[in-house]
Amino acid sequence: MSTSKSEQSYTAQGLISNPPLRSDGRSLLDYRPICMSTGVYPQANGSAKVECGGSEVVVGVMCEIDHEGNEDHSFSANGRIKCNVLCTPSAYPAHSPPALDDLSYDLSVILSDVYSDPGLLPSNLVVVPGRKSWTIHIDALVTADGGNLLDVLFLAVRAALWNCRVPSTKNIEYKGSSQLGNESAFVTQHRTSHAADFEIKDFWEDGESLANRETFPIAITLNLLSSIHFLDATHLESMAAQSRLIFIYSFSQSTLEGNPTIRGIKYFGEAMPLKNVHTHMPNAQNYARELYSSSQMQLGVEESSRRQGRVAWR
Amino acid sequence: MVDITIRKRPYADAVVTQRKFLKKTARGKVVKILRERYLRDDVACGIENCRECDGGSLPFSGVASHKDYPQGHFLLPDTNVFLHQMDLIESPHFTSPLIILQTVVEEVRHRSLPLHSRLKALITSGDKKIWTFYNEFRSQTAVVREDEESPNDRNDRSIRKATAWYNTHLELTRPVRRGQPKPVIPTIILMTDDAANRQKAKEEGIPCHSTRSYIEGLSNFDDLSDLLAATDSNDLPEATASSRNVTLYSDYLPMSTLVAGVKGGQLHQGHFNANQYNYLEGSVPVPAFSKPVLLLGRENMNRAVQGDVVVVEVFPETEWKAPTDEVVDQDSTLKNDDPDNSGDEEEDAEIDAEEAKALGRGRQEKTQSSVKPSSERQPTGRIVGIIKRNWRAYVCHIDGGSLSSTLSTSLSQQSVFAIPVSRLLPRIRLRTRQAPTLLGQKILVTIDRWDLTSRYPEGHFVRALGRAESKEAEQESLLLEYEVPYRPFGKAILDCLPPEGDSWVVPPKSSTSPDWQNREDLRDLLICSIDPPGCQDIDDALHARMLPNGNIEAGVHIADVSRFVLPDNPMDSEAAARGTTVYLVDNRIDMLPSLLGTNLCSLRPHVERLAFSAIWELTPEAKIVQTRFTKSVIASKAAFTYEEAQIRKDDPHRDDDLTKSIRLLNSLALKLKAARMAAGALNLASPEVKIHLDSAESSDPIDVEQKEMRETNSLVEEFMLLANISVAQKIQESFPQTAVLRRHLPPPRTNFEKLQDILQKRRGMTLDVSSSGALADSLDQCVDPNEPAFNTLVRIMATRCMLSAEYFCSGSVSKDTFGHYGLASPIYTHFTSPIRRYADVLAHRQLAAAIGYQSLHPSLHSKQHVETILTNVNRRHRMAQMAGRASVEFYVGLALKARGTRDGKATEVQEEAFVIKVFRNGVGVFVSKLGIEGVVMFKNDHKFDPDAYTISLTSSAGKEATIAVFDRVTVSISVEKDKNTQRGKVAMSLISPVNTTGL
Repeated sequence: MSTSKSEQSYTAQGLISNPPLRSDGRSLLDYRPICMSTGVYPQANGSAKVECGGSEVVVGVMCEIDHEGNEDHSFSANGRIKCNVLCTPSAYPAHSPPALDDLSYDLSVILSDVYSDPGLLPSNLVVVPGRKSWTIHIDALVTADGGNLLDVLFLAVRAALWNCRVPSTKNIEYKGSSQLGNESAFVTQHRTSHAADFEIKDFWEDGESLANRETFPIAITLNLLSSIHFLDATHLESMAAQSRLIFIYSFSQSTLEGNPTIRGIKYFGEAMPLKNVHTHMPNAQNYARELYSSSQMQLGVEESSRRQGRVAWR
Repeated sequence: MVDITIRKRPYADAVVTQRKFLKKTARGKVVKILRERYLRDDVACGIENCRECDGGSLPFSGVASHKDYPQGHFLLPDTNVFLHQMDLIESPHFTSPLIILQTVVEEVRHRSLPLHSRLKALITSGDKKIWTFYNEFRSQTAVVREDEESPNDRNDRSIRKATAWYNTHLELTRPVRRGQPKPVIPTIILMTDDAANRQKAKEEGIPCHSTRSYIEGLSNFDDLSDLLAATDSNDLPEATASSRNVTLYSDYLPMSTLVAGVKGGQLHQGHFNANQYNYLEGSVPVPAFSKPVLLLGRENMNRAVQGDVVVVEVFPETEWKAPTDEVVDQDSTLKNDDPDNSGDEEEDAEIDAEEAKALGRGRQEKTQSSVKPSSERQPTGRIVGIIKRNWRAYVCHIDGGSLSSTLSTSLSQQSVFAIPVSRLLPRIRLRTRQAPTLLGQKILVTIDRWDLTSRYPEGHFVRALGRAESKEAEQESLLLEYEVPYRPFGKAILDCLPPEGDSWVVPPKSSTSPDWQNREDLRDLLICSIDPPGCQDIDDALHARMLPNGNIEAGVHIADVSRFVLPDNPMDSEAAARGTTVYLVDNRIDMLPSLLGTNLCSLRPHVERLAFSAIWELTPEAKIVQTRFTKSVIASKAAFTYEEAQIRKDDPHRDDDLTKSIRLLNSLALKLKAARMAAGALNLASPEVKIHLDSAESSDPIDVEQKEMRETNSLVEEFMLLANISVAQKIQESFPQTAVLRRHLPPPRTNFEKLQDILQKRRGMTLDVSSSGALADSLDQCVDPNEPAFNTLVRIMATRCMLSAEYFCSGSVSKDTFGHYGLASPIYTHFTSPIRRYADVLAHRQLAAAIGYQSLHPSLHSKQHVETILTNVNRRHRMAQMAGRASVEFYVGLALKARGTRDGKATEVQEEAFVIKVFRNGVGVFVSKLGIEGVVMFKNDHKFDPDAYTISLTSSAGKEATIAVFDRVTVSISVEKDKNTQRGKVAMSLISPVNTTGL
């Protein structure tokens, strides 16, 4: 979407004026209303849709069994997370297909970089120790881009992972009789690493949530314009901003009060002294914490309402 | 304007309308499956004249046959009733109106497919008052799974909810009206053998019964009580506490462990085969070993029954053993066992000792002379679990010796042994009130279970077939034993026939008639058919004529069955299920209704018939120049028997066109055969005998003779082979993924080891089995100038070493395994007998599509569909062959009996026989003249040399003789009636070289 120089400078003028003026009347640190729903794809193991202003991202999470000696020799005993982002042509009607692919690729890389950290890998992805594990496929679909896409993307992925249920499995193995001929010397079920295969514990239950799911990260994009910064830029506003500084944070119950863990920092735009990053960091941390707690609240409500829906239906 | 509304389901409804479940696929992936369900309020209850629901078929006020419910009742059975008491439900005496829930039908399908198909058949047959209620789709009865609830509990709850709903539904739809008598409201009874479910139902105020307690309240309890399956439910008063009994068998491993073990390669899966000579021995062929895994003794066979899919654990190689070479008959070993209290310690010890003796004999000998060649030892193991039981109803006799009271008036329930007709099955213990009346009858018995503590499986009586040895009973038992579907064709099937029936004719030729579209008019060709005498279903006819260019045109015309049997209609499904026509000595069980088989499709002479023709242009040397296929209309000029055709051909005075064309066909056939033989085709032999029937009415056999082979037999055969091969090539080309083909895999070399060894040791002959051509050649070499029958005998034995041919779907196996070993053809199918074989019907459809006559039905594009059909057809085919053989055997027995008592006095039947197997205590012989096999048993011990395949006998007169495999002996054959089972048994004893009566 192209914008003219005059449009950009007009928007910039509004943002840096005192009091700042944004076209939709927000203050600099206000988000547009965020609408989040989970479980939108019943076929997927976890899914979520997040809308924020004009941006919309739908994420589906699929769990797939990976086994030792798979086709591309990429088996990891502790499981894997694979990310893929797809930008739809409807979100970017002006983009050519190759440009769309590039954009999808760039977003996929950012997401994968963050989620490839072993520290984020949930501990319950092991199925048969050393032999089989779950691979989590995150497929994000950008259906509309109204600015601030990265924050929305991370929020949506997080909600989908929160919603994800890994099927519960039970390991099975056969242990041969040690003394043949002695009928009672049969030891059949062992919970050791000799397990060869697994079975699904209960084919009706969705399974268990991912371990440490609260640590899945949140992204905060600070849009910098001369001395000010603002959040949740619309498309036009992000064009007017000189640069973008993106912080990606992880929270957990223990870090909510103290300092969250940082998962990544990205910077795009005009050159900037490094110390500015330090000055922005505490602010970003606070914004992220706010976003985290409100999204967490929403996820909690969604989850309990679903359970209640079931109970109420009885 | 058209008013369009889109009714989108609210998001919150998803809990109710979506059913999600996880499934682990065979490849180890986990998939999440999502099913939508649409709940509605108008799913009918099924009761006639219901105020709210339409289209009911159950009687308005139920039935009042139960003493506790004089106001009438309907029965709503739980899943376990269908799983365990199917015979009871199917009984014609069981007449209660049934409401079958969708939940129940689905659960039955999950648990057992055969029972599910029986249930489906029951529902569709219309014999009973049955209504299927789709409870999962009615909003009032649909249930959603609760947290932490097991699927089983959910289903139970769903069944209870439906029962409760029915009861309130009846109350609500039959309200009390002022001025009218109070309406009589029948009760819906929940019938379940699950005590926990009954408990819960009672708490919820739902009327419920166990099967037994329900049956006891019925007026015809006596007719039904025997059909009650033995279940381990607590309320079975007869279930004696068996805790004192010693466990005879080890427990099976859990299914998941078995699967893991098989996957991990520590365990092996296969079909259990019992040994027909020794009931204490069985084997399981598994892919991991070239020889089947041997199972010795009861403990290791661990309650497996013939045909079960089992998992075996193989012992370490040091414990591998060779199969016993002894005949062990359970009738004699177990004759003293008492059905009432087997488990009695003393008696047990006795039997154990007896069995141990039977097993140990021979084995001991072997360890002494321990240097047994290791080649004879085979993997030995034990069964650790059962993947799938293959139990069905078995034809049995009651063991007279096991009856405690034979008074025909005695109606007390007693335990008796049923002895299956098949030697491969263990005897079955059952409880019945009718024991004395069943004595001497053939009866049908189903196995219900086999406990750890019980030496025998427990079963229940299904129905009586009639007196043993009466032809009706024997024939029905034969059909049942080989699972041949023999019910008359139902109305739905007969409705698929042309409405004109008998009077259907080929419509007059016109361009508008659909039957003449794209059909060639071959009515003027000199076509004739050659078949066995008395053949009614003529499905092939032939012609040949000289072409102006010196080549010969030959044509094979096959009845166009696919014109009448259209895909996916009831007749087609029935034919697919039957798979083949079954020929018994005096009866034929048709695959298609006889209107088609013997009339509309039969290529009878002098009438116009629709055909599917394969026409070749051949050089006089029988090389194919050109092949084409076409749908046609023919009018056969004559129907010959093999004999008539042969006489006509050989008659030098006959010189008409028809005779000429037979001669032409014959000359081509000779060349085709020569070419085939040169390519390495095998000339196999199997004993075929013909039964002479006295007259059509009595059908008493009077004699047996071997079938005669004429030149014309071979003529027809060659052209059928040619047609089959040509068609196979064509359909494989057009439908590489789904062509219906037939193959014969080359036999594994190890199959021949024994025969090679015997031939080498006894006759100094070698058998080269490297290829079918080499085998054919070396079989030709196996000639004994003094013994013309010797070659045939070797061929018969070689045939038994081979695998059987099978149908397959071309996309399912790799292309280099398409070949037909016996015919030495790279590709083959069956095309020429669509009236009696279903695979041919499929080939017809594919060929018709390949030549662009009509489009292929979508089901024939589906590899999976074709595979499923062909698996069934293969099985039916095998069963049909066995049934046919058994029928011949039965008639041979009758004929022998007739011969034995000819002229009113008992004479002994003596026949020449060949020794084909030597046991430690007997010899197996083959009587080629009668086409039967038998065992001559010796009571005393004799000198037995297993390596040289000989046994030395000393006659009572002191004469010693050595008998070896392939020796010609004379045996006396008689039909003995087994005292206990009433089973006619062919008994043989040696006459020469040694008379063994009494040995």
